[in-house]
Amino acid sequence: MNSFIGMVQANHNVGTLLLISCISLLYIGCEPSFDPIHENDRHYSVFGYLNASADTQFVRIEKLRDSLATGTLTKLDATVTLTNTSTGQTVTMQDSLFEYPQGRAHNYYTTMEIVPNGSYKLVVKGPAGTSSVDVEIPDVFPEPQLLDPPDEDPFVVVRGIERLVGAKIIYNSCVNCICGSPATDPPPCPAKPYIREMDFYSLADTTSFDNGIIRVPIDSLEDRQEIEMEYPPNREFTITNYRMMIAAGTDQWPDFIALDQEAAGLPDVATNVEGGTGFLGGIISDTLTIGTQSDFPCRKCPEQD
Amino acid sequence: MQNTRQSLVAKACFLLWMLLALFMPSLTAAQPQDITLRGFVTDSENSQPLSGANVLLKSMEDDDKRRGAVTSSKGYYAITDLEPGPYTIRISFVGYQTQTDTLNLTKDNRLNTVTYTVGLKHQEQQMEGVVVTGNTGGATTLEAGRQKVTPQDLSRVSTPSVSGDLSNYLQTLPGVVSVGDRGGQLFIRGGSPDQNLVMMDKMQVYRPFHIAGFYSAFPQDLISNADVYAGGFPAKYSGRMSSVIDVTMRGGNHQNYEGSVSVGPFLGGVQVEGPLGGEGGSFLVSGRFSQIERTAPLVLGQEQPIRFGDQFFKIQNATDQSRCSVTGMHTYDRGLIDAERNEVFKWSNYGLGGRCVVLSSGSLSLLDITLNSTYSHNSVGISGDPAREASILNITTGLDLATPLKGGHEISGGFEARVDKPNYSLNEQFEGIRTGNEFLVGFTGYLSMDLNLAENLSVKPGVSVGGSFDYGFNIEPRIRGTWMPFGSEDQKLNFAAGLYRQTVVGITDERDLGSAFRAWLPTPLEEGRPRSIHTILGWRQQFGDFGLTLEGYHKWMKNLAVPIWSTYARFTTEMTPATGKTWGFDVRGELKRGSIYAYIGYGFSWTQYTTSQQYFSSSSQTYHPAHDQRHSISALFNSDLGFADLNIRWQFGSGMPYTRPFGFDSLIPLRNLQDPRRDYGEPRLLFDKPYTGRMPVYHRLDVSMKRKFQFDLANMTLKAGAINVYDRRNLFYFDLFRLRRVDQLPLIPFVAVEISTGS
Repeated sequence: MNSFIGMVQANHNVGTLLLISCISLLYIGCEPSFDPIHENDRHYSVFGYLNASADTQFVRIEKLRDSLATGTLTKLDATVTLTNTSTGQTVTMQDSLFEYPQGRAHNYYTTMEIVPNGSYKLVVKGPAGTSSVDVEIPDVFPEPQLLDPPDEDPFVVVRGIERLVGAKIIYNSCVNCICGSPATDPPPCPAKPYIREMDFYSLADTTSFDNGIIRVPIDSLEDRQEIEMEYPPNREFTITNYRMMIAAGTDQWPDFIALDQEAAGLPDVATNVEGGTGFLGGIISDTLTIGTQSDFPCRKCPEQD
Repeated sequence: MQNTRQSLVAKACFLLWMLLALFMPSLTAAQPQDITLRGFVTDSENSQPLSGANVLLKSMEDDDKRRGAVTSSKGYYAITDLEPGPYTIRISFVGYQTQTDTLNLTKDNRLNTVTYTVGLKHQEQQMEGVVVTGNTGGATTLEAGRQKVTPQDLSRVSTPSVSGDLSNYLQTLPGVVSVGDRGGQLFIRGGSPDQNLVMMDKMQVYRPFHIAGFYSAFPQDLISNADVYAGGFPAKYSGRMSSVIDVTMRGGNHQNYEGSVSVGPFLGGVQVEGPLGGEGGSFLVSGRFSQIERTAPLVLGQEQPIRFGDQFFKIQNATDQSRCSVTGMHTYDRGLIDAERNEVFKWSNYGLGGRCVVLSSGSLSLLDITLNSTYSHNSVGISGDPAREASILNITTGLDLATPLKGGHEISGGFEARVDKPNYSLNEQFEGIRTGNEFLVGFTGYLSMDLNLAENLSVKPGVSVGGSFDYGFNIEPRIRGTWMPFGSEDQKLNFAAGLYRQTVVGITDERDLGSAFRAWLPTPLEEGRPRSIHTILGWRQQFGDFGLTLEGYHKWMKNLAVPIWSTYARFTTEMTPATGKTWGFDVRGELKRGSIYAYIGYGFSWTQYTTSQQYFSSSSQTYHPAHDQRHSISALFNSDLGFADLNIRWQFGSGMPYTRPFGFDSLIPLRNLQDPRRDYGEPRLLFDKPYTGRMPVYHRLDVSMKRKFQFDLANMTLKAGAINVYDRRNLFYFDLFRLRRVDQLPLIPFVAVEISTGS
């Protein structure tokens, strides 16, 4: 009997202990708060370049998003100013909402003159905070020269620049309508022929020499094959003209040739934005025409007139 | 290339010859002039080996002449150097009736060997309400990383089914980290899931853990015993560099037909067993099928789109001299780890193997012969059209021999030949590893000794020698040992160390813990196979019915293939080599008093990887990977309340590392001077250095009560309880690219029933 009573008492003690434990655990079982975002002073993402050779400057400015989902608010709720730090002249940039297949984005623009060798400061101010970036514009450089030796591909020679930050061959091309063709094969004609601008190049293909000369080769045959892939198959297309744009920057620009794509994407690697992320560079560019094919204008079907 | 292969074959032959040359003299040396008593200790009903049974032999002529042995995981024992004469033998094992007998040992054959095999009866067959005590099994049986696990251990950890499961039990051990209650991935002492060697009757099982973390291919009802090595495993195991889970499945009842049907909110099952053929022959068939997909809306109030199950059979014939069996298994898992992501994970295992454990009639050796084939497949993607899939076929045959020597020593050795055939289609997830169909042939031999250097010091040195056409030869020395400074089992110092290599690795994107996909393939790194060095030192102390263990460990790893971190939202990733370091310690206390069982374990672990990736403004990166759980606590409490058995489990884990995001934007690649007006840019995640954040702590309480009702025709076991009693919202993982938390299971009340015939 005593052992039975002892067992009952032991079980009672166990029950009491369990009750206390459960109440304690219920208390600590409350919802854990968890804020995954790492507190930081990055507020806006800024991308683009100020081009002393362009009339209008466009700069992408977005507030850092809190998800991967693309798109943006219709209004950014930020004031963007651009100041020429040499003269003190300041303008407020205008917002423009662009539509892309991936979503909308804010491109701010201004027609303020960007002068060679100038220094500028872009400031984004909003409820989230302030981001700013200092931009240096390079000096003018001699006109690039197109050379077309008989035994090799043509190339462009560039002299007198601190850093080559862009070399693009820009092709204007259009698809030609084959009038009266079946609706499916080849694909239907576009309603109207249009000029499409495509550019190709990689800075890694350029060659720099010790005397400051940069050689930019041109392989228009390879580019033509790539353009062909951009159009529907079995279509005739015309390259109306192609030209090369050469852009010079200062050493403020990251050395994109040396940086691989993964590294360039890291928030602190290729950025010059204080209180934000992204890169705003200064360039001066020159464009030279390489060829035209005006003998083969874009055609459109008469019935589409 | 042909010459290279011929050279490798020649080296392999030379190696095997060397092993045999080393081994054969030992066999000769093992021929004793005195008598050797040997045999198996098994369960009388199903012939399952009883690992850890005590065999005590006492001379009837001289009371001071006493000898003892403890059975191995095969239930085998051997006592050498016995003089002829009459003896009493006493064989005991926790939960079984102790058997006592008299033996008259005489030199009556060439080997002077007497075989005495015993089948012990369950104590429950004799009397009701027996109190099970003793030190066999239990968390404090830890000896230098090795822990013996019994079905009784599994019953102590509550699952939402009537019986326990090895997967659920392992998660209560310090040093074992589960990233959540879905996905079936266990990280043991800093090692990743692909570095665990999991074996069922010596068949390698690649994905043994079910998608619902409570369950695996090893339910309590089917296992005989398991040896779990959290590290420092001996030379007989090879091919993995972190841990070993070596499970022996039980055979069927060879005396009576029995069956059971069980059902619960997660799982239902049927099991049948009985005698087959002559005496000692038996079969056991089991099938389990998940129910949670159907019951979740009712029980949880939410969808749980997961399905899993397993089927198992074992045909066994056991005699005094041998135990031969054929084992077959199949598991499958399918479901969404994260219900909001349309990624269906599937994996399955098939296995068929034969095994004979035989007492050699021509020598003192115990032979263990195996021939196994397993196939594992897993995929992820839209159902019916997976984006990535991988499989591996493995065929292995092996022979192990263990021979007792004079002085109580033992020598063991063996070899294994294996073919692995991985096949994978990764659809650009891993750069440079797209599709492949490999064919790997390898040989492994090992030799180890069990040396009793003094009465209280035993050392087990060994060496594993492996060879493959792709990687050449390797030698892996290992050592384990025990020192009892006070001459008693109550105080033990255990140690282990060794070198380990892994040929086939499981590649996964560890950036995404929600991914349960793994591709098995030869290491993609030019640096060579991954390898590790383990060192373990532990102390075990028994105070009456309270056991305490303290064990420290260090693990050094090299050539781990880890993904390069990318800020771009895409699946493609490059692999890069990393070195890893893990150190930590476990403290475990266990009380077995009357009907009360209580256990508490604390684990501290520190894991760090260093990679050569050149980002984040330095040439190498050092970080704590996602499974670096620094602190863990497990507590179990079991008691017989008279009307039912109470089972309580509480689990705590400190927060695991995750990569802290700053935010998202779209990167316009200015390397090509892209114009913002024309290009939207590439969506980008801005993050801090990898794994610098810590998720919230995890803790959960599970409570259940179980009662058995006995009727004339059958027994009914009823279990009721709740998982996550206080409904804590534990974080499973954080989806970095979607900035979204995925939680573990909420409160799950459950009732489970099992109806069975037999004992």
